[in-house]
Amino acid sequence: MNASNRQSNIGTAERWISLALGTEFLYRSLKKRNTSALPAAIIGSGLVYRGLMNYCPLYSALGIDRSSRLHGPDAAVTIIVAKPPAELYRFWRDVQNAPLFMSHVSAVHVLDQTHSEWTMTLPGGHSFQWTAEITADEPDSGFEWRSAKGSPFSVNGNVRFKKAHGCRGTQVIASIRFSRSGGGSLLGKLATPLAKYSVRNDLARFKSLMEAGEIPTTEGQPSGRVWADRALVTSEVPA
Amino acid sequence: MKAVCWNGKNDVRVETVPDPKILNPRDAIVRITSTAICGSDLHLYNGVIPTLQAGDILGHEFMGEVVEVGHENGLKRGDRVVVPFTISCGNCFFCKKTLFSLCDNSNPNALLAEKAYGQSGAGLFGFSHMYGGYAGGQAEYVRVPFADVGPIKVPESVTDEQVLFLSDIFPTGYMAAENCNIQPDDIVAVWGCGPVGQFAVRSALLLGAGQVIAIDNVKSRLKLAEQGGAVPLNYDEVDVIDRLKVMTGGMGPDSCIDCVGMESHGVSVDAIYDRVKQSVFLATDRLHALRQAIQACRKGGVISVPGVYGGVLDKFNFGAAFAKGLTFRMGQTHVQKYMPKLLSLVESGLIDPSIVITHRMGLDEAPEGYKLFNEDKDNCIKIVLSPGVSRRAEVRA
Repeated sequence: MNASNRQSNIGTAERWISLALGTEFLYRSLKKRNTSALPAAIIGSGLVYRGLMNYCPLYSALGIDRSSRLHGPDAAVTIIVAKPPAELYRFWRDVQNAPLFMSHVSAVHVLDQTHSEWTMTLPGGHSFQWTAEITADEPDSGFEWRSAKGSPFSVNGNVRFKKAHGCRGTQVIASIRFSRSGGGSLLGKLATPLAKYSVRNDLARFKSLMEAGEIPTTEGQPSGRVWADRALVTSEVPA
Repeated sequence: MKAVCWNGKNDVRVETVPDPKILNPRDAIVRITSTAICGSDLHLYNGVIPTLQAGDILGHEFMGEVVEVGHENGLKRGDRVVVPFTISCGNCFFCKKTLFSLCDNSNPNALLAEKAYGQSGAGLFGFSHMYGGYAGGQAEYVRVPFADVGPIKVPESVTDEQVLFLSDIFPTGYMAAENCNIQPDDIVAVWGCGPVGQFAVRSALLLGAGQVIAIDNVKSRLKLAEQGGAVPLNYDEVDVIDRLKVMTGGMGPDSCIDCVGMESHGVSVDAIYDRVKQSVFLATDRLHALRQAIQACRKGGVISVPGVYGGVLDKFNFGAAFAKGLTFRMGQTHVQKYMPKLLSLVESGLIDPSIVITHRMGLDEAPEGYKLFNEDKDNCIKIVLSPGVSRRAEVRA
């Protein structure tokens, strides 16, 4: 594997600590200028190397990945849908269809070619509105969007439809990102993993709607849970 | 309507619950005429399957009459149907390959299953929320999703008891045998002579096996397997591996079917270990059966596993499997794939699935039925429940 193919595998804080420690080791060993300082020089260069490259060969050999790439702010998720990209694009791009498969979206009102007003309903019944703006649009292959000025938070995302290999249909890739400025970085950090879960869920619902023509549900089916407290008795939950 | 509800460990009750209604366009509502208690229901009964909630309606083997359909879907009111326990959309990558139990679009709680297994299989009736949380068919009525793909129409010329098991255990035993890729004169060994084992024995012979050896320690089950054409082997009386070697000239059986399983749906090693000890409907260490099958199987043979496994296996003799170049075939049954073929076998009289029935009860008597089956009393092999019928348990002569 050459360096350009290497993906980062250490976290941001660790990277800076690695750089600082490595520099310290190198500085001290170079000051001594004798063979007894050689081990420190080797360790120092190693630490500086992994700090600069954002890559640790030892981690790589052990299969460890501590980079924030895995749980970073960009929540991209993907699913295969057995339909052609153009058909899926058309359905998704008609944003009024969103309430059909996005579980937290209760209504979408189209304002103009690129703007639409979204009503979200969160668990617990709390609902709020925000305005979405489409910032880039490539027919049959995807589009980008962001929250317009005046929305209660700052968020952007995109959805892409790529032909999957063979006859498998389309690879749908959706991502959502809460920006650091609007809503604050803490909110963004908290909101993104939740949003990722929600996007993952909505992608599965989109797939079912497109492939099966309906979304599987059990809401409204009978059960013996006539008294609310009985729902508290459950069998073991997975570890 | 009346329905069998799970209320906690060893606590099922027949309760009055709301009638089911159509929730999706491809749904149908079926009035149940016959339903059965499956061995896997006992694990729900014993509370060892995670994500079950008090009030859940049990049952995944049932048949009846269509009383309502969502939209035009090939079924109409009055159709007599058997419903497969696997819920499948018929359109996804997996359904198109007839891998119906791996359907992508039928589990509303797929993310829960993904956490445990990486990907989710199909939703199942009455089998915990990880498998979709669908209300089951031990009830007077049931909602059947994707009714245009699942249920098979059955003629009046066959009785409920002859076709009821097309819903699960007959296709399960048949797929287990088919997975063995049986060649003429093959010797097939079957571990566990419960209902699935009985159908595996008969299916293996139908598929051309030269000899089928049935392993269990319950005499009535061994006798039934013998009546089906198998050579019985009681593991309380003989050393199974030793005996199989003698019977096969030292080669071992060409394929081995594990109809025992362990059905412990935990994901941590210690949880599985506990649950292995908790084996219920066959009084044996469950992983022990699989280990024994691997040990006994001939080189290059097939291990077919219809018995359900849930988590991480402890002390699994994978080295033996590797050294002998074994092939493993397993999974939930692709019921829809087998129903038409097996229905024609029943209609032609080649096989009568009702032979496994030992007890017939009214739906009201479900709690006694679960207790009886769970405690392995009264030579119980299979219990059929009839809604609308209230009569005392009767043992088949």
